[in-house]
Amino acid sequence: MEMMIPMFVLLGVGLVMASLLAVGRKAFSVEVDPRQERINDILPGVNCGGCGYPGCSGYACALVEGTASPTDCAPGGADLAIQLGEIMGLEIELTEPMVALIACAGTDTASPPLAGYIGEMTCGAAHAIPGAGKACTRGCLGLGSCIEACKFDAIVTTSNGLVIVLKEACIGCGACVDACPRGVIKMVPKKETVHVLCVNPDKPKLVKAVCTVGCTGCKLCVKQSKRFEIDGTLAHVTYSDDAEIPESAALACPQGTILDSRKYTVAAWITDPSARKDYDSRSTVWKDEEKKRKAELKKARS
Amino acid sequence: MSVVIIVIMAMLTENFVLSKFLGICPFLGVSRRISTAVGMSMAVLFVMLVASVITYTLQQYVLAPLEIGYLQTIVFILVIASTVQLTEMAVQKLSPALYQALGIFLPLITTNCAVLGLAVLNIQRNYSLLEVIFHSIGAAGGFAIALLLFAGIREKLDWADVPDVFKGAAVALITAGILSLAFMGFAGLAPSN
Repeated sequence: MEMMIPMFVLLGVGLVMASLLAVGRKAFSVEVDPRQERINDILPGVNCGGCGYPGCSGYACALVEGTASPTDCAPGGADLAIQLGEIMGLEIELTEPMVALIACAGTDTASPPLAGYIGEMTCGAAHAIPGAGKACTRGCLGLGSCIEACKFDAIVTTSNGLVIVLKEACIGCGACVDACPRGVIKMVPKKETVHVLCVNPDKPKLVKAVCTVGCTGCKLCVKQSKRFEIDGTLAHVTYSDDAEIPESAALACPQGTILDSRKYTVAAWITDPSARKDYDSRSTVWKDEEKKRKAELKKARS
Repeated sequence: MSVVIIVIMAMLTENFVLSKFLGICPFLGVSRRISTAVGMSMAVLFVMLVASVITYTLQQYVLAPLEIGYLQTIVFILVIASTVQLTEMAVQKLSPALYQALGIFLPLITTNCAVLGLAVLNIQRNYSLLEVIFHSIGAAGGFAIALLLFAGIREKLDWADVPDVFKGAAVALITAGILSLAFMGFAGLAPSN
């Protein structure tokens, strides 16, 4: 009998606690939408915060409450959006998959640093100090605060003072856009191939003074394709229609600001001097031909 | 012993984290930001109070009369774990805002050795119920002091120029050691029994 006491005590305590928990479960039951759990299960679980909610469970909560859209999850992409739509009973309008673009080609050679910077190695710190970094005060600092922000290792530094986005690894969460103190990073549709790699809105003279590949707003690209627009003295590609951008748009640019990734990869364009050389020779050839064509046109008219 | 001395001793000379080395896991785990450290401290204060009162009554009216003190550890763990669960449910129902603020910390405390250590210490020292309550408050206060100090230091450490090999956990552990050494200095405060 003596040895039964501890058993009964333990059993008793266990029973009391178990029944308390059971009663508590009923008394304090909080209705959780069953869909929330199902959504939680299929979300990627990377907690990138790209949707704007605290983590994947926060997004699931917002979805069920109806404040978030099923297409807000960038890592999940189209497949997940469709699944989420099924759970929520919503029609899904698929959005274009986006990727980040570092809209700057100002390498150390194109826009040489004014002075050595040995301060805090974050873009925010360098941006706060006048004269730190490259001559261009609008472009990429190349210190990689966006790399810190990227949870998918989709941004890497180059050897010549820039960073580039690895298009295949980028899931389009947009975390890097907020990390950049200069607003150099833009979200662009993944399928787009032609980009203006400059964000400097300054007057042409000032741009030319600080960088050899900056956009001067000369409008030559606009003449080649309606997809280009000039905003002040800065060209950019519009994404409202799908028209193919001709190769001549990039070739017409006197500064070589426009990247045509059908011809050169971003990495080659930024780091490989031979890609630039190739572009320069093609551009010269194209410009000569254009000149001839115009001359002939003039002759025919007169 | 007056309750004031109990509180001060539990906070400083017998600081649970830095002198007794209990509850090191949340000390290192949730000390990255001061805001989370505050949340954790509040949760610990609450759980310590509730758990030590319940375990104390259980010891006084069940374990001691039946002379089965050797069941202390397992019974206490059982009680603490289910109390925390129950508390979590109640908080979730009654105050969703507080539940959001405490978040993951509540369930984490379930298996926190500081809570069990406190419950066992209360029994070993033959405290009265009033002393138990104040000892719990002191212990939780000590935990909060340690956690907040450490979180403050770690927030600064983020911006410090730490050699690469020491970055992260290594420098955190070294800092914790130095902080602990500093707290050892409070030993002189203790009244000699």
